[in-house]
Amino acid sequence: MTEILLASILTDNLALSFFLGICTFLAVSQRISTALGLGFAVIVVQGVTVPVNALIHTFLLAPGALHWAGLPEIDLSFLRIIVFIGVIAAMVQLMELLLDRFVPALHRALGVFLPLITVNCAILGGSLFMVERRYDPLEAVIWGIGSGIGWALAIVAFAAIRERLRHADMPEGLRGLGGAFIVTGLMSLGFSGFGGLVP
Amino acid sequence: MIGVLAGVVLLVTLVLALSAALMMARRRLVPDLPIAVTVNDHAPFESRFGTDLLGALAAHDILLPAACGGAGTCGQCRVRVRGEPVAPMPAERARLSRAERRAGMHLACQLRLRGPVAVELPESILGARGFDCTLLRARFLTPLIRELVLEAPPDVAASVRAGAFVSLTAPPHDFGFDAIEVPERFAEDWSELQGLRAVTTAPATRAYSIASTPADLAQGHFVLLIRLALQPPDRPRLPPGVVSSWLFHVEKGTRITANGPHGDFRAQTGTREMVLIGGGVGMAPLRAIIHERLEQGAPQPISFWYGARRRDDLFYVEEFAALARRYPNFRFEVALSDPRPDEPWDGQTGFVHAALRDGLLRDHAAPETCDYYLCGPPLMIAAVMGALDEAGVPPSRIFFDDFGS
Repeated sequence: MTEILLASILTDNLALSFFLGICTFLAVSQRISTALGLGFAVIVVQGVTVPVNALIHTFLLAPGALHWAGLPEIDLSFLRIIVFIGVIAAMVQLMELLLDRFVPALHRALGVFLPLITVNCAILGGSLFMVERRYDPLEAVIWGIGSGIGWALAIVAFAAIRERLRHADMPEGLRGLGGAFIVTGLMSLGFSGFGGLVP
Repeated sequence: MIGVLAGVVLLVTLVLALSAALMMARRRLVPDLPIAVTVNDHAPFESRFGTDLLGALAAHDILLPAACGGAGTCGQCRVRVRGEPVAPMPAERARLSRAERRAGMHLACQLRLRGPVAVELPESILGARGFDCTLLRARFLTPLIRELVLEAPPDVAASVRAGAFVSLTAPPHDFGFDAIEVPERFAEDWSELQGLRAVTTAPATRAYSIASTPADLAQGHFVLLIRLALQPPDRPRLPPGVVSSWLFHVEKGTRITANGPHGDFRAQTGTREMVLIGGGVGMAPLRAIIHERLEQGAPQPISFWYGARRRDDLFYVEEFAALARRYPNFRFEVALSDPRPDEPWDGQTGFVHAALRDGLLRDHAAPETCDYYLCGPPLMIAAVMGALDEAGVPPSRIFFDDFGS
């Protein structure tokens, strides 16, 4: 369990080890406060969708999963992308409703990037990795929340660096996105240092 | 076969379950409740949960100026919210100063109704209302500026003070620029524009300053100067302005939906010397102010400095020259920044801020005692502000209308 948690946050960090969800990572990292908000949204979405998808996969989609319904030879695992995306889309819409109702300023600040979580590769990636690595539903809870925390950690740290870089004396051509790409690379190098942490 | 069936059943059930869950969440989170809105000390009126305040007020015939149409970019629809402070939206952080936000100021377009709300507005805004006007006549003044004369209801015209603006609404439309009738002398300027199209599927509203003289207003006529909003040269893919394109296309007799009058750009009372500086359609409110003050018999010196690029961009020149002959305290100066070699021009050349500096500020005994009225493109305003700052004019003596840009 601890290994899965550590792996999901540090060694297998979705943003900095697999470069998933980099579009949002680059676009919503201008301010720490917005990055925190998005990070929190991703933790919730990831923490709910991965376990729900794990349950659906274990009891409905996997080969032999329909054993309980008396259909042991049926394999619906080819449906997993459309099913996972459906669950993620519903979850993101719910998230949008909640934020608009209770934290409207954050809802406005995230703008189009909030609905775009639906097709964020980090979110779908979290569910697909769960299947590939054959996590059971309990492990999926840990992996889902952990990978959400890992992505949030990465974007908040990145936003903090970018806030400071705004006042740094950078060469003209590297201001903005150029510098952001370099920082992403350096952070990724840093995270690769966690490599030996989990056996 | 049974596998396909199981897959279909599974997908359909899942989609139905997810939709049902979302609909239930929506019912709880966005309830269709009535919300009471109180303006100043008037009796509250009812609006619906989740509407934005700008729309709620408009539905109640309280029309706040909003040149951007509620996008949160013009910063004109300001209201003060009474009671509990509300967290500011990102657009409000950008448009309102810290002191304003502390005082409870908000942009009405950004405020969504989630509970009873009480707001404060200047009573004068409550006087602005929606009305229809009719296009009496229109003519081209320069290649890209069209003068419209609208017949407005007499009571609306009577409530207009020089410097005010009205908002005009264009209905959904779709036409090619080749349908716009251009006079022969400007045909050359328009040859490149023929291929453009103006398209919108929703009504759009933009603000235009009223250039009417007191005599125009007495007849109930609004004179508006419309500049065709074209894409900047570095962004040739952007479509032309929705409302200005339509206003170049409208024909005599068309009914136009409007609301107003709005704005607090107007002549100060007192007898300080007045210096008015304008460019392009910035002419509009300045023309209204100059005519109003001169006809009221203002005793102080009044000068009007107008900047344009070339001869073709000049208009109303004869009118102001006549005013200068009639009123000894009125002075009119024009500077062309880029006159064509083939057109005769014996007036001043250069930018208007330079003309103002050399022609007035440099030799004026006390430039800080005059009132300055600026209206024109943002670059011109910035240059004039620079020249005034150099001459030691405090910002409190400078009044400008930058069209909310």
